[in-house]
This record gives sequence, C-alpha cells and structure tokens, in this order.
Amino acid sequence: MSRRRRGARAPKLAIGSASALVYAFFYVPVAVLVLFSFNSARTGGRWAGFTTDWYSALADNDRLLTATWNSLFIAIISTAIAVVLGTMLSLALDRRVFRGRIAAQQVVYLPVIAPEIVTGVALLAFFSLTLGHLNDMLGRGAQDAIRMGRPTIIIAHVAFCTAFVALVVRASLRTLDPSLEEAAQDLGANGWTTFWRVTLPSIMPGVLGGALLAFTLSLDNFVITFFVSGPGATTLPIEVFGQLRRTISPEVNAISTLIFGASTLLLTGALGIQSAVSKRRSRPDGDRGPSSAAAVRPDIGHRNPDAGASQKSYPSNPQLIGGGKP
Amino acid sequence: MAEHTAPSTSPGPSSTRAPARRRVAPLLAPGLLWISVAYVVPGLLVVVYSFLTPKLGGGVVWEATLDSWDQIVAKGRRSTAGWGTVGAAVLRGAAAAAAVSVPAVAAARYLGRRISASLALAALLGALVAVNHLAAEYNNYTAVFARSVVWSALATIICIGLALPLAVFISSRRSPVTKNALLIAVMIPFWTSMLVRTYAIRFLFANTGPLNNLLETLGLDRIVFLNTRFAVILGLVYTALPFMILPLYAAAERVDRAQMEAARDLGARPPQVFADVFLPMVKPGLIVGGVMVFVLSVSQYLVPTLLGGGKTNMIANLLELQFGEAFNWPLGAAIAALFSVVTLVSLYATVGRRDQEQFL
Amino acid sequence: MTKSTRIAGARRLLLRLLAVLAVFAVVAAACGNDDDDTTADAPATQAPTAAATEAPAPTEAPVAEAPVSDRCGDPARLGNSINFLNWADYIDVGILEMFEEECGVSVTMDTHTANEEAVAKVDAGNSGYSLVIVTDYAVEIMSSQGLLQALDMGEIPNVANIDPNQMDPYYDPGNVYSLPYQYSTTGFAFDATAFDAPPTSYSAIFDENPLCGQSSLLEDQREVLGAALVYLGYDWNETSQAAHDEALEVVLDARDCVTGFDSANYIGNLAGGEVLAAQSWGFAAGIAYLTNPNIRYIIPDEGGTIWQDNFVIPADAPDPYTAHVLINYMLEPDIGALITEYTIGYTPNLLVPPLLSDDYHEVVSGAGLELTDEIRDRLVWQVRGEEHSIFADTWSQIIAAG
Repeated sequence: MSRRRRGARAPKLAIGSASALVYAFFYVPVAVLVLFSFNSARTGGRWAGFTTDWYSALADNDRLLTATWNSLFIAIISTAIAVVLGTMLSLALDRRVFRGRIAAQQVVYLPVIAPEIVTGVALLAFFSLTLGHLNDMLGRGAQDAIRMGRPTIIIAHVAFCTAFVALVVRASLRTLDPSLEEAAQDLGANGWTTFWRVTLPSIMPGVLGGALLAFTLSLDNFVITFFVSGPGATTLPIEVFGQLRRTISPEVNAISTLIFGASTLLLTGALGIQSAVSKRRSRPDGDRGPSSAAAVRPDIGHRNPDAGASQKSYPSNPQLIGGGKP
Repeated sequence: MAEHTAPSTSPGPSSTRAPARRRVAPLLAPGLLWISVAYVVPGLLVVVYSFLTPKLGGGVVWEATLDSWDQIVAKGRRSTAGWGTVGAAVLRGAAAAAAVSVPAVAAARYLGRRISASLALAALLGALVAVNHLAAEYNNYTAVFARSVVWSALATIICIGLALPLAVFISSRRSPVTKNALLIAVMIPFWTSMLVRTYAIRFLFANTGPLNNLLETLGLDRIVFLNTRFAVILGLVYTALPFMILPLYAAAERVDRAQMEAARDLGARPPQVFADVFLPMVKPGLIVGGVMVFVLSVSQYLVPTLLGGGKTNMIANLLELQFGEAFNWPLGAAIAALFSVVTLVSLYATVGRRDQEQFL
Repeated sequence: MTKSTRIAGARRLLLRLLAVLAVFAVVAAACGNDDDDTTADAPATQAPTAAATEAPAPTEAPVAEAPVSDRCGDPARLGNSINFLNWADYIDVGILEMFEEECGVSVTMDTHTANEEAVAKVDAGNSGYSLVIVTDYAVEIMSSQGLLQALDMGEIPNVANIDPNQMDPYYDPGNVYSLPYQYSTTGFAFDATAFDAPPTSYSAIFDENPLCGQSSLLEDQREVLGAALVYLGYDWNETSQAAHDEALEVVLDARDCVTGFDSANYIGNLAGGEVLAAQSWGFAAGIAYLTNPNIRYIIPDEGGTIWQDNFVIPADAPDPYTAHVLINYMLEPDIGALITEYTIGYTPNLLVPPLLSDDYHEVVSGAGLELTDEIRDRLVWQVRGEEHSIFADTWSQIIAAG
C-alpha cells in the first residue's frame, strides 16, 4: 500500500474507471426517475416542462403513502429479526460441531434456492391451512377471523432474509480465526462476553452487509409478498406493479425520489457524524490503547500478525459497514 | 447486556468442541424453526402437490396421479428431438472443452501451475455445454431451465467482473468514511423500488428512447434492445450486482496487503499475485456472492417480465403460467420441484466439494 | 479500549436506528398531512389518471350534504369498514372517499392484476374481503367451487338500472352470484398515421405485418391463441389439438416480428409511439388515445372478445350487508358515471350514458370505441372449462421458444 511500485498506475486507473462505470450503471436509471418526477407530462417519455405538482399530489395519495409505510415497516421489522436469527444460525453452523449439521445447513439455504413464485403459492396454501385451523380452534367466524396481512408477510420475509444474513455472516466468520475467541475464553471471558467483545466486532462487516441485503430484499419483494398479504397490507412494489397496467404514475416517481433523497441525506448525515467521531477519537486515544484487555480486543490474533506494520493510520475505526480489521 | 467484568466460569483449556455441543440448540433452533415453518413444510407440500390432480380455479384435488410428471417427460419432448440431438450435444461439448482447454492450459503454464486442473475445468465445461444443449433442444420444459441457468451463470460472471474492481477500489481507500460512503452509494439506489428503476431502464433503452436517439444522431442504426436476451441479462446483473459487491468487499477488506506486497517483492507477476494471493483470500466472498447472484437471478420474475416482454422467458414465467392462468398447480409444483433439483445440481457442479463444506 | 470499541459499536447502531426513524418520521408526517385536507372535491382533483387530468371534472360531482344519505341502506346494519379487492387501477379512489363521507363506511381497497390471483386469495379462505371484482370466467369458477354467496337483489334496488343485454350472462345464469361492474372488448389498436388504409384483419400481425418490430400482442394465452385460431378460421374457444398445432405455428412465426407479448407496457408504448399497432383491450386503447389522438381501435373482421367485470361477494365475507350497500352505491347513475369516466370501459348502467362528459364521448368516438350491434355480432365470450387447459399447453411451448 504505502510503497508505490512503478507501473502500478495503469491497473489503478482501470480499477477506478471500472468502478465509476458501475456507479453510473446504478445511478443513471435513478437519475431518470428523479427527472420524471419533475416532468409535467403524465405519460410518455417526452419532457413537457418542470413541475412539482406530483409532490403535492403525493400528499393526498393515501394509497401510495400507506403502501410505502407498509413496505418500510415490514422491511425494518423483518431485517431486525432476520439479523439476529441469521447471525445465530451462522454461529451455530460455523462454530459448533453437531450431528445433522449438513442437514441443518441445507434447510437454512432452502429459501435462497426456492423460486419465489412457488414459495408464494406454497405459503398461501400453508397459511390458509394453519389460519383456518387456528380460527376454528379459537371459534372465530368470518367477522373476527385472524387473516393474512402484515404479520404473515413478516413471517415470510424473515424466513428468506434470515437465510441471506446467515450466508453473508458465515463468509465473515470463515475469515475469523477461532483461536481468537479461544484466547478470550482462556482469559476468562464467558461465551456471551466473547461473542459481544470479540466475535461480533470482527464479523460486523458481514452482519451489517447481511442486514443491508435483507432490508433491500424485503423492501423490493413482490412475488411472495403478494401471495401472503391481506386486506390493507399492500406494499409499494404491489401498488406499483398494479399501476403498470396503465403507466407508472409520476407520483410513484415522486415518492421514489423522496425515498432516494431521504436515504441519501440520512446516510450522509450519519457519515458526517462518523467522520467527526473518528477524527476526535483518533487524537486522544492514540494508536494502541492500554492493553490490559488485549486478549478480548478484536484486532489481536487476526490472521495478519503484523498488521501494525502495514502503516494504517487509523485506529479502531467506527465504520458503518466496512472495517472489522482496524 | 453483559457487563464489562463478567468472567466467572472458566471453560477450561481451549476446546471449542465441549461447550459447543451444549449450546448449539439455542443458537440453531429459532432460525431453523422459522425457516422450516416458512419453507420446509410448504416445500414438502409442493412435492406432494406434484402428484395430485389439478383443480379448475387453482389448488388441487386430492387424487393421486402421475399426469404432471408425464406432461413434463413425455408431452414436453420436442417433436424434433432424437438421437441426432444427442449427437449434436456431445459434439458441442467436445468442441467447447477443446476450445477452453487451450487458453486454460496456457494460463496454468503462465502461472506456473499444473495443467491437470485446467484440463479438468475444460472437461467440466464441456460436459455442462453438452448437458445444456441437450436440455435446450430435447424438451420444452428443460429448454426453459437451460436458458434460466445459462443466463444466470452469465449474469453471475458479469457481476464478478464488475464487482471485483469495485471491491478492490473501495477496500483500498484509506479513510473508513470514504469506504462507507462508497458502500452506501452502492446500496442507496436499491432502496427505491426496483420496478420503478426497471421502468427507467425500459425508457432509456426503448426503440424511441434517448440511447437510440443518440445512435441516430450519430448516424448509426437504431438497436432493438428491449425484450431481447441482452436486456434480460443486463436486468439480472442490475438487480443482483449489490449482492456480489457486499460480500466481495467484506472479503477484500480482509485481504492482507502485506502478503501481496511480499509476493510482488519476491518477483511474482501481477497476474500471479492476483491468482495465487488475492483470489484465494477473497474466495469466501466470491462464492457467497456468486451463489446469491445465481439463485436470485435464476428465479427472477420481474426482470424477464418487464425487460423480456414475454419473448424471452425464464423459469418463473413458466411457473407463473401454471400457478396463474393455467390453473394447473400440480404441473407448476412438478416444474418447481424439478427446477429446485436443477438449481442445486448446477450449484454443486460449479462450487467444488471442498468449498461447499467450507462456505455453503 | 474495549469499552470504547463497544461504545463506538453502540453509537454506530444508534446512528443507524436514528436514520431509520427519520425515514419513518418523514413518511409519517406525509401520512399525517393528508388527514387535514377535506376530501369533498376528491374525485375531481385526485383521480390519478390521464382521463381525470385531461378531462374536466365529471358533470355532477355530488357533495355530501347530509352525513347519512338514503343511498346508504339501513344504518343499523351498516358496518364501519369494508375490505374491497378490485382490479388494479380500475376505480377512481375518490369514489371510495365519497362513500365514506356519505355513509360513514371506510373502504380499504387492495388490488389484483389477474383473476387467478383473486381466485387464489378467496379460495384460501377468510380472505377478509367482502367485495371482489373479477372477470366473467372467474365468476363461473368461483361459484362452481362454492366460493361465492348469492346476492340479495332486495338490497340492491339499483339492479333495475342495469342493461338487460349485460345481464343473465353465460357464466352466471340468472345473475345469482354476480352483477356487472364494467365491460369492454379485446381487439386491435393502432396508430392511424402508420397505415394508408386501416387494418381490418389479424393478418396485419399474423401475416404480412407491415409494422414488423413495431407491433405487439397481449401477454395472455387465451387472447393471443384465440386471435390466431379465429384468424385460421376456427372458433375462438377451439380445443382440438390439430387447430392448436396450427395456431402455435402462426404465433411462433409472428413472434419474430412483434416486439413482445405485452399486457403491461403497451399502453404507454402506443401512446409514446414505441409500437404502432397492438392487440389491445378496448379501454386501454381509450387511455392511449388520451395521449396520442392518432390511436384507433377496431374489432378485426375475424372477431374479438367481449368480457365483463363483476361484483361478487365471497361466501365467507365478513360483512355481506355492507358489500350489498356498496354495490348498490356503485350502481347509482352519478357514481357509475365517475367509474366509467375513469376506466374508459363501457357501463352496464342504462342511466349512466346521459351523464357522461363530452370528453368521454370524444374519446369513444375518436378512438373508434363505439360498440355497435354490427360489432357486437363479431364478439365472443371466452369460456374456461377443464378442456381449455390445452391453451396453457400450447402457450407453454411459446414460452419455451424464447
């Protein structure tokens, strides 16, 4: 890193421009939808003048707002549950030896390989069966029956999100040396402390990456969600798909722009705070703190014993997603 | 929350096995149970359904029959299929193996490795090509399978190609803030509805859209892009790319640059450093990302529907027909069951045995 | 050090939580806002369609004067809320708000994009929907499965308004389970500027296709194969293997020339000039006409289909009475006019046509959507029985082809 070799420029340039291309690939469609949200033409791709009408119309569009709210609610709850369950699963599969591990593994990755539409139909059949029995047991009739809705959507979303989280976290666990955890335990840390202080900080990139993927998957899921939703539980993808029969209304572009803007703003804000925090912390703490608790520090015992030699200037870094190796 | 000073029980000399046996159930049970309820039980239901009789209006009549399987195997067979198809498949496979073995062997020589692995790779690829050709030409149902698998494999390769430089680029930034900013920039577009973005892609690539208008202004011919394979594969890449970038980045972040420096100092050429030092280190991320991209792509419904326009269909379109308009749930279930097997086999054929145990 | 790592971890988590909460706050604020607005003039200002933006407000947008009008049935039996499952984008949501205003019943509407979806949901049991709108053949399937309850016409006095031509259909003889909501046809839409002489036959797509690469067919096994069958001289509902083999050939040949089998994007494509001819639903041609006045709609000489969407009440509906009241409400002439202005379909309500705006009539006559007796003679209903599964088998081969 620190020593630039001659001729290293060309690959750097190639990597940089390839990366720029990928970002362009991601952002050009977003730019189009942002542009459309300000286009006064309702249909067609022609630019007919600037307007903010769609944004004011959005405030009155109950259906779209409810659908957006439903989507966010479901995605947040599902992600939260899935991150906990998925991390636990990956720990069990990776750090434990037990009979039936391979079988358990196959079950965990089932959601990853099952075609969505089959899952959707199967879940519809399954929920209708179980809810039917449940309602019979509780003596509930047509009026007060327990029905499909947000809870059933969350059950379905948690299931596939958990599998994806487990997959990503396991990749992180793979690169974490178990002797690190053993060392912590030898020094008297119990299982929980070891996990909280050693394992979790080290696999944080994986956990957060998994959480981001789970959130994205849940937010965008259309096929499964459709089958397991119920009255009033329409999510944004379902609402938008319905509109495709005519054309996507500019209000959909408007809400997409708002979601895009809000997430950009918030995450930029979070980054700003993070940057301020890391600047402040890097001064008083110095490079390596007092090492009384060295054994439970995540950076000791890492595969790379001479990490300190690689001249990284930042200490334990409070990264959002990245990091793990200080 | 565990308090800072909570040592108490000393688990004795470092044996991860002993305590492991005791504590596996609480870790495993909740997640496993949840997934079982949502997938295993309905999954078994699918297998059972494939042996039942279809009911008009959807669902099944509980009368056992092999009709669905007969439909796939016997009626699905193409009228043109015969021994000629088999022969053509074998020829194609051999040709592909021969074509690949040349550069593969050359690469192995260059990297100073044994060529046996390259030859094995070429043989595997040849076999895959042959099986794929047979599937595509022999039977109407497996034709859709073959197409879905090949397009998803292509999308996976393209995703790796795009994600590798990006992961290296991000992980070689110095400031954690920059890294996070770049990573977040990958994810943010994906929080706006996929449907809306796909619609934007449709607009961009339409026959009368801006890209084609640009081509015309430049004096070139318009290109039909929408509703072609190219559009569908591009859509698959677009939807699945972050699922490659994140795990690959997490792996690249852990790459030991000192080791790469050392390899370079010892005289290794950049491709050698890449193949012998870098790739093995990012392998877990590569495999996890690859598996996710592949499986997400292979069962995609919205991409072939919106960008394929009914002319370029994948497996989900076939399933949608059976579970929807056709009211033939048993046939849909049989196709789904068979397809799950195909997906599994494709994964196991590509991800080597050692890696499966390690990463899957 | 450990502690600070932990604090950093906690802080990170907190930041993320805050981010999420802030997103919530934005959305919640937006949700809260609209409660302040009165919804009296809702249908005129909010109808999210081309029809509503470009056509002025419907003639008699009724403003509720009394909290409970005589259009709300028996207040003692009326529920507070009702769940309604409708085709996507098939009603001016302002009507539901008017119903709430007038009768005090809040309507939660969910949408489906295929009859099969609606059937599957109701078939699963306890769907929670008291009122569902599905197309003709789905009524027959649902009633034969015992999924529907018989309508009590005593609670729907407005049934007297319905055109006898649209009553007593093949799928529900005697209208035991269903009443018509809207109906339309399937034919052929094209941009008049692209043709010297307007096409009159499916040969424009299946044979000479002058617009190769600029035409599309619907993504619908019955409509596409049906069109191919009548083009070949068979019946639209033909089920013989020989006829299907021929139809398959015709469609596979046409496949290279059509841009796609498309039920979702073609309206926008027609309006924007991306395609110049498309197999089309009647109402859809009307919607495209609003943007592109060169769009014309025909029923080819070989024939086309007529279809009708219907009100049905599931057997396990939580609140059948309120559903009856809502059906009756939507059969009121003024409400029927609002519905038809929005869908650009045909109304089965005899009292509605005089109330329809000039703009609606302009669309219907301009796009060639008038349903004359001569055209009616060329229309058939699509029938779906066990024997029609051959359509799916044939269609599977079209999916397999690419």
